[in-house]
Amino acid sequence: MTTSPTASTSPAPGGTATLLGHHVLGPELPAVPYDHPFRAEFRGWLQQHPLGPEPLEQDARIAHRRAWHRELAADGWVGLHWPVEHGGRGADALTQFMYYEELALAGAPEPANTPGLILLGPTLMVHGTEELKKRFLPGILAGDEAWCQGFSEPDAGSDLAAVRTRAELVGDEWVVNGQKIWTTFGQYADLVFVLCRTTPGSERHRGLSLLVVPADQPGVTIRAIKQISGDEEFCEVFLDDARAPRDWVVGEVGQGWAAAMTLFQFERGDQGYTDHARMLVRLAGVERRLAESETAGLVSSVRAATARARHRDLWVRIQGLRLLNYRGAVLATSGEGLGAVGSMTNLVWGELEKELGAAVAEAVGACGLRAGRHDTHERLHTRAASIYSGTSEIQRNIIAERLLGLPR
Amino acid sequence: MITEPASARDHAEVSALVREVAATTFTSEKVRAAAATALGFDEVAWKQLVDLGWPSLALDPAIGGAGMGTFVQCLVHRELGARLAPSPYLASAGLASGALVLLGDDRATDLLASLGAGTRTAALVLGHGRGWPTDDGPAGLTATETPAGWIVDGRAELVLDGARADVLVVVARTADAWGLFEVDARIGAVSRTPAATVDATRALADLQLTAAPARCLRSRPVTTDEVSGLVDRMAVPLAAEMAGAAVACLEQTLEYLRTRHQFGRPIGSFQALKHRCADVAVALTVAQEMVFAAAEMVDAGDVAGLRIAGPLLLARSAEVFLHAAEEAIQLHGGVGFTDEVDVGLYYKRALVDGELLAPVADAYARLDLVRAEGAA
Ligand SMILES: Cc1cc2nc3c(=O)[nH]c(=O)nc-3n(C[C@H](O)[C@H](O)[C@H](O)COP(=O)(O)OP(=O)(O)OC[C@H]3O[C@@H](n4cnc5c(N)ncnc54)[C@H](O)[C@@H]3O)c2cc1C
Repeated sequence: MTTSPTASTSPAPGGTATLLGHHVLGPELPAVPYDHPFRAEFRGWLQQHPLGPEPLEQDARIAHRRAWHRELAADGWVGLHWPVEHGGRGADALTQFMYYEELALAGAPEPANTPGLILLGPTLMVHGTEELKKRFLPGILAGDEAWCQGFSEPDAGSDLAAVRTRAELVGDEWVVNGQKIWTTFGQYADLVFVLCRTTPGSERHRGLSLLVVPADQPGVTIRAIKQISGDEEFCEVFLDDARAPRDWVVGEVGQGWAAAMTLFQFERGDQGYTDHARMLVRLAGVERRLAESETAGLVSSVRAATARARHRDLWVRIQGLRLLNYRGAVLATSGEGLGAVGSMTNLVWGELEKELGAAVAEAVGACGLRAGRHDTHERLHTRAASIYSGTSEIQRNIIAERLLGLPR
Repeated sequence: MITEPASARDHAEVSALVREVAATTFTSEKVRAAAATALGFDEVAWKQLVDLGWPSLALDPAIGGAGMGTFVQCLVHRELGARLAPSPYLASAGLASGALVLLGDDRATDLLASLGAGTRTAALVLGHGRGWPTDDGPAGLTATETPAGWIVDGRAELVLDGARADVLVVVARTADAWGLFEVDARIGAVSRTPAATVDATRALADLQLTAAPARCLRSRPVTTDEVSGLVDRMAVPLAAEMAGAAVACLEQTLEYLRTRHQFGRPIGSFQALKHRCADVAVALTVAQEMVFAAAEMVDAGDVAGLRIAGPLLLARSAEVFLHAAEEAIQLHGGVGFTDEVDVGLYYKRALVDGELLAPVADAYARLDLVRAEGAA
């Protein structure tokens, strides 16, 4: 990894994108070879669709990702693993694995509509009525309707079963009351999927339902929360007599926990396939920048040597993540779920993401302290990686209790 | 909580007073408000510290100081660090005054007295940049003697209080060695650009000096070894601030672990979290002992001891502080990632403090070098 290829995020002259070579990913894995025709086909498309660098400012960044999502969707490059009837290609998980790797090698950003595309869409396919699928899936795929995840509450974070938000059926509508928090991109969302209590007096996992609530209505107030990175990516969502149509329930009424568990499987599976490749691409960039910083005297040679040892360690661990993701994709093609192994992926990913974010900023020495820089921002932004989608501590509990069978 | 270093027991009263003053003067609201102002510090609070005589705690009574030594001054640094105080105290009373005491001669007395009295504030500008200097290493700042007197040229980046200090205390490369100089910071020959960083509670600036008239503060040249000794010594007040901040960060986390409930229990009852706090506490206890042992070396004039203690405590305090702050964010969960609670501010302070004097890797490299010398 000493020779790092150049970044691919800026359009090359002549309007074609330069894609990083497969060597950045590490050794070839048998079921997803580098000369696979799928890779060649997608690379061909990516080459013809160069994209500009991602802006730092949050609104512009979201707009950039949304535009990219639409561009992909227009040619059928979103939700490949979705069934053909819902606008996908019915591709298997290994194809999806290659898809994410190629996206990363193109320097492409995260899909804009993750909560819809990765979480709610697939959950709808398992638990949703035909009507709901028809109503929502096309908008998710096209990127026309943005979603957010209304699960966590002030007193229900790690302990999600403690949710108190309640919904009551009044005529043909659910009337929802309560408060959600940490709702990522709530301010950009058209729709919120809300885990709430529909059986009055119920406790813990029982009596919950997963409702779809339109964001743009008087009963929904969304307030962004400032983060340590200066972004305002997550929000408080206040539900005061918010309305949702009677039929907008994902799964059976009162069976919301089962729907939520399905959704978590997707959070730990599908989403997982994408991450190692983006990490490897970022690491290659870090290694290149470190060399530049050393030449420019921004970091001493000792510091550079220490950083290089750390980069090697990161590379090794990202390869481990890649194998976990690969294993997940192989299992998925034979119809098996991830189970608690998903928690391993999540744990490894979250811890790596923080360290990689720190390595990005450290590669430029003290410059990585200066405000308004991508590398500075990345270090702060990645601190959350071991908190969202289940903290590292909770993932360890799941591994120890469900996988290893240790007493609770 | 974290046990007080044994050596600090004699100073329990001063310690308690300092803690109380710092806690009321630098509340979270006041710190945030002050950091957001143009100068980035609270002038009223600074005046209060001056009235208390804190800038001259360690100075000789002959120039108006309290003669209480660096040890006691480090108690102040620790508490200001704990509150993330946006204050000229570290730059002026800690670094610049310390440099004058260590390297200056009679010519430095006036300046030292005025810094102690708080009538002026200073920033320390190390011409070799960050880390420890070498004889043949690059120097960002050079000093030249002209018929009209000394002038200093060059560039220095991310200088603490560089944009708001009245005076720059400059260590610059001369033809054959180094020299210690006073430069009026408010003149045209000094261009100062505030450098916005992640931590608004530390005011950093990029400086460009163009034939800036300078007053030499010591007739004899300063050797590279002496500049290294200065870096060792500067590590002490900085490490005291880092240790104090780390303790405060742990305290806030412990408080949260006692009050936040999940799964029907205070989250502090989960062993996984208890063990993490215990590990931070152990590391912090050791770091504090290091800081105050080094402060005693400063007061005893133990240059050889500081040679090894300086890089050691700088590296360890930075690591421990950063680790404590990272753990604080994680153990707070989602709320730890918001700007609303202070743990994020501590994390950002840890990032900046970890670069101010020398990055950890450079401090360890220096430690290796000094240990090898000792073994030889
Ligand atoms: C950037 C970001 C984006 C997010 N986006 C969303 C979103 O879109 N939608 C949504 O619903 N939620 C979202 N979340 C919320 C996230 O899921 C919660 O923050 C997370 O589940 C932790 O809950 P909490 O914040 O209440 O922390 P707490 O549960 O209070 O945890 C505090 C600390 O205690 C530890 N802890 C808790 N229980 C145990 C235990 N049993 N054993 C050991 N340690 C324990 C935790 O690991 C943590 O370190 C987001 C969070 C972040 C930071």
